[in-house]
Amino acid sequence: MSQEMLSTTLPPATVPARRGRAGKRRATPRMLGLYAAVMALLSALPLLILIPVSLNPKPVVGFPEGGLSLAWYVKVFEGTNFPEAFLTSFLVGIVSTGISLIAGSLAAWGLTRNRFKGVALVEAFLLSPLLLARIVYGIAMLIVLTQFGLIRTTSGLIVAHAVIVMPYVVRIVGSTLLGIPKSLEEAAAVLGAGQVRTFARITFPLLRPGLIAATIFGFITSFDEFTMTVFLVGAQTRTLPVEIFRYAELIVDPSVAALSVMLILGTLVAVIVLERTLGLEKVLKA
Amino acid sequence: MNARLKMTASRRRLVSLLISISPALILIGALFLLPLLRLIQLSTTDAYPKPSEVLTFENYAEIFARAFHLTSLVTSLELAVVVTVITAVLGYPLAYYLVRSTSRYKALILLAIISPLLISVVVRSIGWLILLGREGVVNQLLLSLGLVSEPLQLLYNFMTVVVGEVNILMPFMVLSLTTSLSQIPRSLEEGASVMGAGAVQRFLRVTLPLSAPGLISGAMLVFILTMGSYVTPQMLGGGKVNVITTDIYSRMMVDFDWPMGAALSVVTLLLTLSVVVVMSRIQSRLMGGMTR
Repeated sequence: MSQEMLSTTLPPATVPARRGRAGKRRATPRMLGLYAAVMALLSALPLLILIPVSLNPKPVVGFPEGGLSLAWYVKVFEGTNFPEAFLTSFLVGIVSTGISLIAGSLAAWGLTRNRFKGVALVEAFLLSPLLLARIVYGIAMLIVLTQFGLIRTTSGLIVAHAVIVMPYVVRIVGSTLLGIPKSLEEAAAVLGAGQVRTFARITFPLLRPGLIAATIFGFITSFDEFTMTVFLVGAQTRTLPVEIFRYAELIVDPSVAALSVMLILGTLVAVIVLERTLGLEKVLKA
Repeated sequence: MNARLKMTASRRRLVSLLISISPALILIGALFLLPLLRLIQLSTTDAYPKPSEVLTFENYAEIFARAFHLTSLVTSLELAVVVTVITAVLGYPLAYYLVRSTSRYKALILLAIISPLLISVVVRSIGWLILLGREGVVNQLLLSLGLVSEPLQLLYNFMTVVVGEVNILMPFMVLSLTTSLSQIPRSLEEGASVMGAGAVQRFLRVTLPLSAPGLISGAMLVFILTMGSYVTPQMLGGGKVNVITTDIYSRMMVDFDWPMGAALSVVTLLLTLSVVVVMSRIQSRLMGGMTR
C-alpha cells in the first residue's frame, strides 16, 4: 500500500535522489553499530574475563604475569567436588529432558493437529510453569518432595526439572509442527501412504530439527538451573551450578574460572548445533 | 451408517487427542499445580510440620507489619522497576540495530547479547565478581593507571545488582522487541521521512507505537524475572541487598520457618501475577486500538 502511495504522490525527480542516498547511507547509522558493539562487549565481558584468569599460573584472580598455565584446569578434576556435581547435572539433564521430550512432543502434536474447544486453555495450562518465578516453584517442590521423602534425591531433582523443561519442548516442537504444511501429509495419504508411513516418511523428517533443538535447549535449561534446584539438592546430589555457587561463597580462585571456561566452550558447541538445526533465534523466540 | 462412521471417526480423534495430551497434563497437574496448592495451604498455617491452627493469615499480617519483610518487598519492587526501565532504554536501540543492520558482525553481537540465556547465571556472576571485586580486574586497572589511590567498593550494593540484572535480562527485552520491530515494513519509516518527518518525529509517530506490543511484553517479562531472581541479588549484593527472594531463602533454609517462607512466596506469586494481568490488559488495548 505504501509503495503505491509513494509512486503516485511523489514527483519522479525524487526517485534518483532516494537511490543516491540509499547508496551512500548504511542500513543503520554508524553510531548505532558502535553502540551495539559496545553493549555486546559489555555483555560478553564477564565471560571473556574468565579466560585470562583461568590461565594464571599464580593463585591470583587477575591477569597472568610471566607465562600461562593449565594447572587450574587440572585442579578442577582433582580435589574438588566439581566432577561429581557435573555427573549429577548431566544425569538430571538427560533424564528430565527425555521425560519432557516425550510428554511435551506428544502434547504439542495433540494441540497443533486438533482444533477443539479449550485448546488455548490446555496450552496455557501446559505453559504456565514459564510464568511462575522459579524460586516459588522451588519452595513448593521443597515442601512436597519432603512430604514424599524425595527431597535431596536425584529422582526429586529429575521430576522438578522435567516440569521446568517441558513448556519449552511444547513451544519449540509446537512451532515446528505448525511450520509443516498439512498438505504434505494429506498428499502422502492421497498417494496411498498409511498413517504410520506418512509419519515415518513425511512428518518425522520435517520435525527432526525441532526435536533436536528442543532436546538441546531443554538440556541447557536443566543444566543451568539454579534458583529452584538450590532448595532441592542434598550434599550428595548437588548439581554443578549449586556446587559452583557454594564454592564461590568461600573463595573465587582461578580453578572456578577454569571450570567456567570449560562450560562456556561446551555451550558454544551446543549453540553451533542449535544454529545448524532450527536456528538459534527461532529456538529462543519459539 | 454414515453418521455412525463419522461418530466413530470423531471419537477416535478425541481418544488420540486425550492420549497425546494426558502425559503432559498429568505431569503439570500433579507436579506443578498440586505443589502450588500445597504451598498456598502451608502459608495459612502457623507451624510446620505440625500446625496448631489450620487456617490463619498471621503470616501475611506479619509480612506487612514487620519492617524487615516490608523493606525487602519494596527493594524488590524498586529493583524490578529500575531494571525494567534501564533494559527498555538500552535494549531498544540494540533491537533496532539487530533488525535493520546488514553488518556481518550482527550474528556475533546477537550471540553476545543472548549469551545469558545459554550460560548459567552462576558462571556469569563469577565473572562479575572477578571484574568488580576489591582486588578485581577493574580495580587493578584503575590502580595501575593511577586513577584511584585505593580500591573502590564496586560490589555489594544496589547498583551492582542492577547492572547484573540488566545484563542477564537484556535478551528477553531484545528478543521480544525484535519480534515486533521486524514486523514493521521499512516502507512505513521511509514514507514518514519522505513526508517530511524528522528522525525524532518518525520514531515517536511510527516506530515506537508500532513496536509497543513488543516493548510491553518485554517489560512484563523483565519485571517478573527480576522479582523472582535470586542469584544476582545474592552473589552481587553479598547480603547487603535484601530482596524478597533472599528473604524467602533465609526463612526456608536458615530459620526453617516454612509457613512464613510459603507466605512470602505466595505474595511474590500474586505480585507477579497482577503485573501480568495489568500489562496484558494494556497490551490488548493497544492492539485493539491499532486494528481499529
